[in-house]
Amino acid sequence: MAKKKQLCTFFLDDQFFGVEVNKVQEIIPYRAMTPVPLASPIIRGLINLRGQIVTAIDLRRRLHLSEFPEDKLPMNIILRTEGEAISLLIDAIGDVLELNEDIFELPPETLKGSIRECIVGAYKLDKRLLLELDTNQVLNLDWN
Amino acid sequence: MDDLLKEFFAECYENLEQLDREFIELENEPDDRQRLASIFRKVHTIKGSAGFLGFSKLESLAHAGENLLSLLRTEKLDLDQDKANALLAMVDGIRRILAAIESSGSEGEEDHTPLIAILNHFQQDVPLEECTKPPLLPTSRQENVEASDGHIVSTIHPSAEIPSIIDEKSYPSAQSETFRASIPLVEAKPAISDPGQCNSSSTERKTPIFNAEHDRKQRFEQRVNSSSELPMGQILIAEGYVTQRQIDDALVQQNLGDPRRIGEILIERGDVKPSTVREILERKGSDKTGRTFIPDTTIRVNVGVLDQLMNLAGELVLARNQILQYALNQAEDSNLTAAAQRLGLHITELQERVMKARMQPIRTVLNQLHRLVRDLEKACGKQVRIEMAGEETELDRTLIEAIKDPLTHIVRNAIDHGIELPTERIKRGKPAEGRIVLIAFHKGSQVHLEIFDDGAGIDPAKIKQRAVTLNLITREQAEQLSEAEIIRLVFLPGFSTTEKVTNISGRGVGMDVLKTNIERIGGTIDVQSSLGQGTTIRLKIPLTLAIIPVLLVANAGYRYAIPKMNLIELVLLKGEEAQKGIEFIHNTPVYRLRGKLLPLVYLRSVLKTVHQLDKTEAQTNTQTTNIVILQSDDRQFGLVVDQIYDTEEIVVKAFGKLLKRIPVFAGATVMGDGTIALILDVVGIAQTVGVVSNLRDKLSMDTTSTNTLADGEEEHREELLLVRTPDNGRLGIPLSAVARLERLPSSSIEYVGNQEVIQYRNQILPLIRVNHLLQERRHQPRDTIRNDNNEVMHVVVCGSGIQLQGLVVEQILDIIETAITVKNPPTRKGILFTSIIQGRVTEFLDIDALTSYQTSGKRGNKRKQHKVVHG
Repeated sequence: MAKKKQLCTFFLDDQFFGVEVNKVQEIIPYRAMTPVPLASPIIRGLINLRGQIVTAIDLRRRLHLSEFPEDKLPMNIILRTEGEAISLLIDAIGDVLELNEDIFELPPETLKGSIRECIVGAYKLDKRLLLELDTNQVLNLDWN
Repeated sequence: MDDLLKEFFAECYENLEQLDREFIELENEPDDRQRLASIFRKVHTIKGSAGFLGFSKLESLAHAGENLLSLLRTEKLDLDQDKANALLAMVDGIRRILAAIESSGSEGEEDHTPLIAILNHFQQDVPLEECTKPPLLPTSRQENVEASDGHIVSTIHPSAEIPSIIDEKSYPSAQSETFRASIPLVEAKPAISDPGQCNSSSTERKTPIFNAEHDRKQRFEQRVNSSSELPMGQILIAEGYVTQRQIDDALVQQNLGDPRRIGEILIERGDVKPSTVREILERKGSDKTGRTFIPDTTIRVNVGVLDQLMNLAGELVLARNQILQYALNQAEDSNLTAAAQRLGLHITELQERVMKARMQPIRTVLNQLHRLVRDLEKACGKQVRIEMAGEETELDRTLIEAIKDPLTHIVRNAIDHGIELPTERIKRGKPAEGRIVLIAFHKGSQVHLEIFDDGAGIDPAKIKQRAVTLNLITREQAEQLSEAEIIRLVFLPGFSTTEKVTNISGRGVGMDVLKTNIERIGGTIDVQSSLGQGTTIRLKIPLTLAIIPVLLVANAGYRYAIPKMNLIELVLLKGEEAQKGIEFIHNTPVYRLRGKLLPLVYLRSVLKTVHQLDKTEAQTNTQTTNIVILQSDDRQFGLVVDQIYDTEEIVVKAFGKLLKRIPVFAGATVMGDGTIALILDVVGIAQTVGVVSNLRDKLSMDTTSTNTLADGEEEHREELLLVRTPDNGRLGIPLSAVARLERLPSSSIEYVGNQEVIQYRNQILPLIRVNHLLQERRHQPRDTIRNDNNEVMHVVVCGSGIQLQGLVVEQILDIIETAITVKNPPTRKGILFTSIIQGRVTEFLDIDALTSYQTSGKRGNKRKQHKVVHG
């Protein structure tokens, strides 16, 4: 019996990504951010989530994709990690999909760059690929 | 770990902490029976709990100690150093077992039987031959009765104990009923006894009289449970203070109409002492089980719960700020405003109380120091006494944890490096015993801790030498430092002045780590020392980290918070003032605040934000400059910001782990309107910009030479080097510009082009003769007093690093510190001004002239130079 996985999906730079649904705390629309000078450019700023200060990561920069277009405001996926909440900036949110393991594949060799380290693998859907993000890697900014 | 174990650990650690201190106090005052009983109780509790939870090793170790303590308590034995050592070793052993249980669940592999054997051995120090059995005591052993609160009530007959103890040694740790030794709950002081007996030396205690005293107490103790119900008269009889006859007489007097109470009557008749009656009254008044200490008005609360309370209080503060903002903005509904303000007041108070709940007296940390001092003084062979004041000063719990290590370190240093050996001290006329004094007090919003030792002090010369040897600073920089600054060099990383690294301190990682740790919790540390007399270390720690008052400022459209703790004052410069007020020294902007030069730091530069300078403002000169004068670590500087708002109280929220510690930020906060403001770390800013060290050096070089600005006659004291010039004139050189004074052989002069140079410390030092540098006004040169001894030149080496120049003078006269009040206009180029120093007209050298002489080409040598280049 193939195992099924539930991923919360979203769009980023015309690519389709997903994260484990139990890691997602909530999804909120664009919220004004306070920039943090001297921090890595991957950190877009801080947002106020019901009184809690949440760090917002520019996922496009993290995955070395093209920059957010000026006219579109990114949405926030708030991830739950070890006692802290961190936001990933995305273009648009997709559905929660239940996926079969038998359509899962490890990332192809052709996928280069830092995006490779952050991908667990890909699910071959009908029309496109769904890339599953490794949240631990994404949030690991140390060597960047 | 389940709750029961957690309780057990909490209780044990608490007891152990106090035990350390109590043992040491007991050593100093071996007759303090209350202390001994208190110690006994604690060890007993530990033993009991250990037995209950099945920790047999712990139990048997505690048990051995408890037996020894029991004998000490009943004065069968005297406390000497060996016994004290053994008991302290037991405390350590208990700690180790607890640690093992915590980490692995089991009691650990260590074998405690040797220690147990030692403790038991001491018990065999069989008591006093003269101890006659008091006839009134029952010879059978009293049975133990456990009161409901777990404490034992009655006593065991002492003589029966001894053989059983010897037997006990062969028993395994399994508890035998009879050895849950007793704890009298009442510490009755022998009120009538002759003070001489109580405090006498150990030999004297072996007297029968004292035993009578002893048995009186025993009889009393048997009645302990009912004492609170007995009338005074009966108690007095039971304790043998008065006879029945005396009571009867007093009763008769009462019946005859004397309204006073029995006790008073007896006192007046001289039958009993007032102190006795008082004591009994106290005992009667205390709680039913006869405990004399104040009933517990505290409860133990899990620290996590307090932390949550703190967080909630913080959130309430934020919500309050929000509500207040809205309520105050709309002025229509005064009811709302009033209600909001009331709410605000209550929340403030709630927050303060919760904060207070987290505060603990610093005593808990200081207690451990006693033990440390005792161990160290024995290890080092020194005699040291530690005195403390202000132990009740309170500090937030997290900060107490944080200062434990620094304080330990400081005390270690004081004993290891500071206090000298007793023989050494006596030689120096000091008492053989060294003193460490620790004072804690509140001042402003900080807790001050001052640790003073009367040891050898810090030798600035050694420090200087060491720093140079370790290449932490150059020789030139070292010469320029004041004594206070030299002493502060000990905080540089990698510094250590002991040649021999001891176990105790001296690994060279000490003081800088100490400083970092203190600064990490928002505190500061400073050292002062007097050679031969002692050293003082001062720590300043904020009361709490969580909620702080700040000043809000703006930079590039965003708000930032500056902790008020670092704030000195605000300066607003408008228009022209802004232009004039900011001066530049060596390309560094400075501001002169009431005569004192302060380095300026632009926040936009620190944060590297881009700015749009308002062009119209710049043109019409209406630009305003906002300067926030800040203090970091005893150094002051000005921070230039875009705008200054007002002050507020905010809740500090630490950054998440993603924002790897950026030195200039101390966290963030959510403002009343929901926006986020970053909190600036003043110490971090100062360090990032290098404000505190480099600029200061530069400034000290220049304060003397920039004084010919508008406000001409400033009085400041300067250090001057006075030299004689070839024409027998006097020249003053600011000492801050001088690196070294040298006597160099004239024969070593070499030439580069036409420039005289000399090889000096692996450098080529250009030599400049005074009469070349300074224009000669006269057409005929004065008779120069030739230094016939042409072999040696006096050279004043000026500059720093590799930019050195040697000024050749006739003679070096003096170094003086003086206030220069009169400045007359200069008489020639290269001179700043002239003044009268020591009764002689003295010209003051313009250092810039010296520096620029070098670079502007050598006078009259152009042709030759040309030749050299193309030659």
